[in-house]
Amino acid sequence: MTPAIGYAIREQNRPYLDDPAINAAEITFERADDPLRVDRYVADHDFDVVSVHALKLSVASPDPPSRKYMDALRAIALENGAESVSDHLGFTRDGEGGVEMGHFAPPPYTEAALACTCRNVEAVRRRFGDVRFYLENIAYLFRFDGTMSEAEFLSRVLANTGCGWVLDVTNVYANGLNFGYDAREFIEQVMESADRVQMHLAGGFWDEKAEFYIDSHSHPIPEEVFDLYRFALDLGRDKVDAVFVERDQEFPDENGWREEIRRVRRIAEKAGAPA
Amino acid sequence: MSPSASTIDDYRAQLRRCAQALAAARPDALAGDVHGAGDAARLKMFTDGNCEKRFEKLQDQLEVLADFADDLDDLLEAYIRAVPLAAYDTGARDGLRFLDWLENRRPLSSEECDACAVLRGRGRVEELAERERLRHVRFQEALSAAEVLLDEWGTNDELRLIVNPIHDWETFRTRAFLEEDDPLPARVAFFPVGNDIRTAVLEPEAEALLRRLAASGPSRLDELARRGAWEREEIAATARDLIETGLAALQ
Repeated sequence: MTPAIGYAIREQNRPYLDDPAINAAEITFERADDPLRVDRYVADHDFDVVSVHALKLSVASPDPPSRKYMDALRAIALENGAESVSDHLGFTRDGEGGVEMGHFAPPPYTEAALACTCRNVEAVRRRFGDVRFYLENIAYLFRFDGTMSEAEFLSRVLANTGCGWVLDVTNVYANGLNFGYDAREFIEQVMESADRVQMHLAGGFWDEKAEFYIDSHSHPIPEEVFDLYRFALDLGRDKVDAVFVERDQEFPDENGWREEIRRVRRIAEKAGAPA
Repeated sequence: MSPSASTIDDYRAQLRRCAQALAAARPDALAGDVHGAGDAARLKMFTDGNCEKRFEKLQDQLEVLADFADDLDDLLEAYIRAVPLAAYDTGARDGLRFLDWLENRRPLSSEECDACAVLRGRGRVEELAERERLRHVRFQEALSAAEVLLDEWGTNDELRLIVNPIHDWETFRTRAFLEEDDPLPARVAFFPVGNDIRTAVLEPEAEALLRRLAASGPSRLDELARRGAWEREEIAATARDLIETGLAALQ
């Protein structure tokens, strides 16, 4: 079955959301959570799949996320007919009443971090009820010392909690390149533990000075990421519910928006076609 | 086997140390916690990137203050160094916290005070709309229909006037944000129309009607006329002005 395909909604791609290649949309919670907003964030579109993407659940923090934040996420999901909410495998703060770092960092991959993460994911799932929760692998600039690999850590969170996986293909590509691991092996290992899967695709750039691939969501999806996407679709088969393309800077023109999402759909349809 | 309580406590302490160092842009404090020299060097990329994003958000949010505070960028840098983001802080709340910090940092000119009043007025309207979301949405629906109903206002006795539930007041002491003919000091109403926050300096009759309506709830024209000392026509005209401004609607 072909997964639902769409963009993470930005004002710049709103004019093209009725493209025939699009039947899904991702809402970034922090953009939709405008207290003055009167209309639904997805407006009048009737997508097959809508998902809300959050930034501050901070599931690897020692404390569970606040009920207020979880309820606000759920409210936006219900208002927009979303069937799922996702957030990142990382921490953005030390705990309730503490400080916010401004962006998520990977946790130390340890048993203690795993226990806290699983407990928090379970708290989120309980609070969300029938709104499904997916956890995304992040691109990182650094790693804390730990006792297991990221793939093992993520696999165990998925297996222990039953939450879905947002396979951010570009993040796996970036981390593989930057930290010298095999992106395919990572996907293979984690896919085994994932019950349901969404995917993210985006493009960044190679920073010559830092000698690092930066996941900036500012460029077209690179060919290497498309290759990994094909690989993951083959591997995930019927597990993949939706694929979202993210773009936050250096926005393309109309043709660019439409061509990229059509290519993403063509690849998904080909992967789902009978051999 | 689950980790022991003391292992979890150690994790809590580790994350507190890490988050506080990264939030305060002190990446050197964590050099020993990460894999190798490359990762340690990139801790600074992480904190630099976060500070830059926070700076840009604050600049964007505090734009009205920039016209009067030449040293705003320096102040923002000092603020970011001194005050870490609080858990769940959004751009808007961070900006309002900056104003509190600024007032304790140096004396403000009268124009700067008015700019702070603009920002605080907007902030309170947003907070109110967040708390009273359903009432906000219902009023805006009524407001969008008010243009049609306005033709019947004064003749259809069933129509009731309702006040925009999301409004607040500030006092401006300079003309920095006022028209030439506005009084000084001026009481300024802040309220949303759709997704925008608008401001208005009201005539005394309009402000009085707004307050009366806020206290009494939805009211028909004859009820308002009975309760007040004004003529029905005067109330009808004042109400019409409030509707056109976005501070009242009909249902």
